[in-house]
Amino acid sequence: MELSYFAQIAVNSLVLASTYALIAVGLTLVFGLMNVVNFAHGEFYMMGAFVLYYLTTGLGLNYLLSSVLVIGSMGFLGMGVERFLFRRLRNDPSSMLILAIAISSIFQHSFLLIFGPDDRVLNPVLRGTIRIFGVSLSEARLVVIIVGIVLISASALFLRKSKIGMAMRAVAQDEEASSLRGVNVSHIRLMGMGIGCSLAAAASVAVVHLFTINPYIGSQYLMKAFIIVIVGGLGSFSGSILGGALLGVLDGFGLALIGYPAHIVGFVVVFLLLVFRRRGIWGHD
Amino acid sequence: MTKRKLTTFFFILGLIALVALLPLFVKDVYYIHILTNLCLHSVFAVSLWPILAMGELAISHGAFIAIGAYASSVMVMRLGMSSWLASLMSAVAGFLIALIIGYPSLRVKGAYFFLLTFAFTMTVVLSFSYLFKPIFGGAEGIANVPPFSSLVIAGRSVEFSGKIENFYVALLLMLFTVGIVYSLYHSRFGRALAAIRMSDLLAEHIGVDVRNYKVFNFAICSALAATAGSFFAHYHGHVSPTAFPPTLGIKILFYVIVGGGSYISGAILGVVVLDILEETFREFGQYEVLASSLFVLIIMLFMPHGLLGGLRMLKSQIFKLLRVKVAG
Amino acid sequence: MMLLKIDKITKHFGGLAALKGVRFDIGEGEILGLIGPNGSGKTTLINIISNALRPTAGKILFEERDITKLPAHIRLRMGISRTFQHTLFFGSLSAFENVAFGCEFSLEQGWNLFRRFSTRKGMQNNWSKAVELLRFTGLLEAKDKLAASLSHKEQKLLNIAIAMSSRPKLMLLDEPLSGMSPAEVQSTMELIKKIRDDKEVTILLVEHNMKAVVSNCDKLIVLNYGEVVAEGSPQEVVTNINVIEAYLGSETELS
Repeated sequence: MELSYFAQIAVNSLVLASTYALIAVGLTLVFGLMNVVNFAHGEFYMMGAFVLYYLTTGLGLNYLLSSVLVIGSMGFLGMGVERFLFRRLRNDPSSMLILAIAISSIFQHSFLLIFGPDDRVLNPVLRGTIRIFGVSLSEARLVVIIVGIVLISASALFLRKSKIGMAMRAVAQDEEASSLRGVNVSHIRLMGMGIGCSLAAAASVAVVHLFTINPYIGSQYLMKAFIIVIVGGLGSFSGSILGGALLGVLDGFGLALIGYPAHIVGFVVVFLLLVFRRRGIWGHD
Repeated sequence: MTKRKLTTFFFILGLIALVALLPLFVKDVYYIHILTNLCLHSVFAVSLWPILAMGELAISHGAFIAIGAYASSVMVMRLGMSSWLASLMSAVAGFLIALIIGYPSLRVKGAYFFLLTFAFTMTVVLSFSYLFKPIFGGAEGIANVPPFSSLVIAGRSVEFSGKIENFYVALLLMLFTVGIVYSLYHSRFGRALAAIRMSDLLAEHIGVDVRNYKVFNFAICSALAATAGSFFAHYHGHVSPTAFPPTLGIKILFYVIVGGGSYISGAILGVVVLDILEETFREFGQYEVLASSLFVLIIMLFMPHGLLGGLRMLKSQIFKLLRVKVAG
Repeated sequence: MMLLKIDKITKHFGGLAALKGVRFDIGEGEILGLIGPNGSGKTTLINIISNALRPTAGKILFEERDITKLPAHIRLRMGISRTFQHTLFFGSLSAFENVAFGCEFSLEQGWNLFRRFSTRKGMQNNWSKAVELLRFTGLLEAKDKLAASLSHKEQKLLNIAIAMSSRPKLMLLDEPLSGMSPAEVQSTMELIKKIRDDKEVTILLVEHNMKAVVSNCDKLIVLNYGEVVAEGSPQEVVTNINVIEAYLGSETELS
C-alpha cells in the first residue's frame, strides 16, 4: 500500500475517531449524570449541522461566528430538554429512555419536514491542503482532528480540575452523597446536558464541511456512539475516548478496504466484546 | 369462574366475533387491509409485551420480524417449501437465533441490554442490505414473494391471494399470539417473570433461575415476532431492508408503552390508538411519524404508565380467585 | 458433620482486599455469630456464601460439596437462604404474597415451562405453607398489608419469613436486628432460636448488637479488615485481646 494512500486512510480514521469520540463523550457525560441513554443525542449533531448550513449558506454569516452560535444554541436547547422534559421523569429511567426516543424522532422528523430528505453541502471554507512528510492532506480534515483533540482535552481537564467538573463526577458516582454534601444536583444535570449537547454540536460544526448534511446523519452517528459507549463502558469518560478512537480506526480502514459492510463489523465487535468482557474495556457496572 | 370473569370472557368473545364478521359488511378492501395491519401490529406488540414484563426494554423485535420475513421468503422461493411450513420454520429460526444472542446479552440488563439489542438490530438490517446479495437481494430485497399456498378447508380449496383470506390468517395469528402470551403469563412462568421484574436479585435468591427465564422468555417473544415477519412477507409479497428499519423496533415499543405496560390489552390498545393516529395524519401529508412521536412524548410526560396506566402491575393478576381462609 | 466450610475465601474489589483467606466451619444446628466492625467484610462474606458475589479465590463447601461456582438459585435449592441487610422484598406485593412467592419458587422445578399451569391444589398447598410461615414469624395479622408499608420490625420479620419459605438447612441472616428496640431484639432472637430448634435450621448471624450475639450464639467468629481475628465460644471471644482492640474504634459495647 502506498504511503500516501495509507496516510489518507489514517487521516480519515482520525477524523472519524475525533468525531465519534466527541459525540460519544457527550453521550457518556449525559449518561453518567442522568442515568439515561440519551437517544436524542445524535439529533443535536444533526440540528447543529443544519443550523450552521442555514446561517452560513442562507444568511451568509461568517463561519466562525456561526459555529459559536450553533454550539451555544444546541447547548441551550439541550438544557431546555433536560429542564422541561427529562427532569419530569427523573425517577423512572425506562420512561426517560422512551421519552428520549420520542424526542429524537420529533427532532428528526421535524427537520425532515422542514428541509426535506435531500443532501446538502456546505460551501467549503477550508479548501487548502498541507504537506506533511511528503503526503498531502486536506486542511479541513486536520482541523477536525485538532478540534477534537482540543475539545476532548478541555473537557477532560474541566472534569478533573474545575469545581463544577468535580461536582459532576461526584454526582455521576453517587447522587445522594453528593447532594448531601451540598451539590445542587439539578444544576449539575442541566450543565452536563448543556455541555454534552454542545460537544455534539461542536463535532458537527467541525466535520460538516467534509460530509453531506441530511436529517438522518444524527442517527448514524448515534449508532456509532452507542457502540463506543458499550465498548468503552457506560459512564466511563476515558472509555468513550478510547472506544471512539478504536472505532474510528476500525471504520476508517474498514470502509476503505471493504466499503459499506464495514459497519457491520463494528456491531459484531461490540457484541463479542460484551460476550466476553461484561463491562466493556474500562467501564463500571 | 366468577361472574366478572365470565362476563369479560363473553365480551371478548363477542368482540372477536364482531371483528371476524366485519368483512361481510365492509366491502372496501382498503379497510380490510387496515384491519389486517392492526392484527399484524397487535402481534408485534403483544409479543413484545412479555419482554417489558420482565423488566427489560428491547428494540430487537424489528430485527426478528425481518429475520422471519427473509427466512420465510428464502425458504419458499429457493427451497421450494410450502409457505405454511416456512412460517413455522421461521419461528424456529427466530427462536434459535434469539437463544444464541439472548444468552450472552442477558448477562447484563437495563440500558446495557437495550443497547445490545440495538447493536443486534443494526447488524441484522445491515447484513440483509449488504451481505449475501444473491440470496437476500441487497437493497432491493426479494420481490414476488408468493402468498400463502392454498389450503383445503372443509372440502373447499381456499386461495390466499386476496385480502380477506389474509385478514383471517392475521386475525388467527393475533388470537394465537394473545393466547400464548396470556397463558404463559398467567402461570408460574409469568409469576417468575413478575418477580424478576420487581427485583431480580431477590428473585434469584428465592429460587428463580433468572438468567434462563429471561433468555427463554426473550426467545419465545422473538419467535412470535419472526412468525409475524413471515406473515408480512407472504402478505406484502416483497421484503426489503427498508421495510424493517431500526425504527420499526421503536414503533413497537411505543405501541406497548402507550397502551399501558401493565396489561396485554394495553399493547393492543396502543396499536389501535397509534395506528389510527397515523392513518389520520397521513391524510395531511407526511406528518404521521411526527404526530405519533409527539403523542408518545405527551403520554410519557403525563401518563407514564400508559393509557391503561396507573394500575399496579400484576397485583391482581398474579394470584387467582380464592382468598385464603385462615382457621383459628 | 460440618454443614458449611469456608475455605480460604479471598475477595478483591479492584485493588482493595475485602476478604483475605477467611476460614471457618459451621456445624449443623449451630447458631454462629459473625461479628466485626463496619467494613470488616461481613456482608461481603455473606454475599459470597449466597452467591450474590463470586470470590477471587477460595472455596465454599456445603455438605461436603463444592458450591463455589453454583448460582444463587441452585444454592437455594440445596438449602441455603438468606436475608438482606437492606431489607429486600417485593414492595408492591402484600406480606402474604411475598412469602407465597418464596414458597412457590423454591420447589424443585426442573424446567418450569412444563409445569406452566399450576394445579389449584398445588397453589393452595403453597398458600397454606405461606400462612403457616407468617403465623410462625408473627406476621399473620399483617399478612395482607403491602410489604412496603409494614413497620420496620415487620419488614425484618418478613425478610426472615421469606428466607424460611424454602425450608433451608442453613439460613444467613444479615443484621436482622438493626433498628430494633431492646424488646424487639429480644423477641426476634427468640424467634431465631425457635427456628433453629423447631425447624432444624442452622443459622449464620451477622450482627452488630453484641449483647444479643453473645447471649444467643453457640460460637462466634470475629472479622476485622477481612481476616478472622478470633474464633470460639462467646466467652472466649469476648475476653480475647484482639477482639477488644478491633472494637476500640467503634461504638459497640462489649459487655
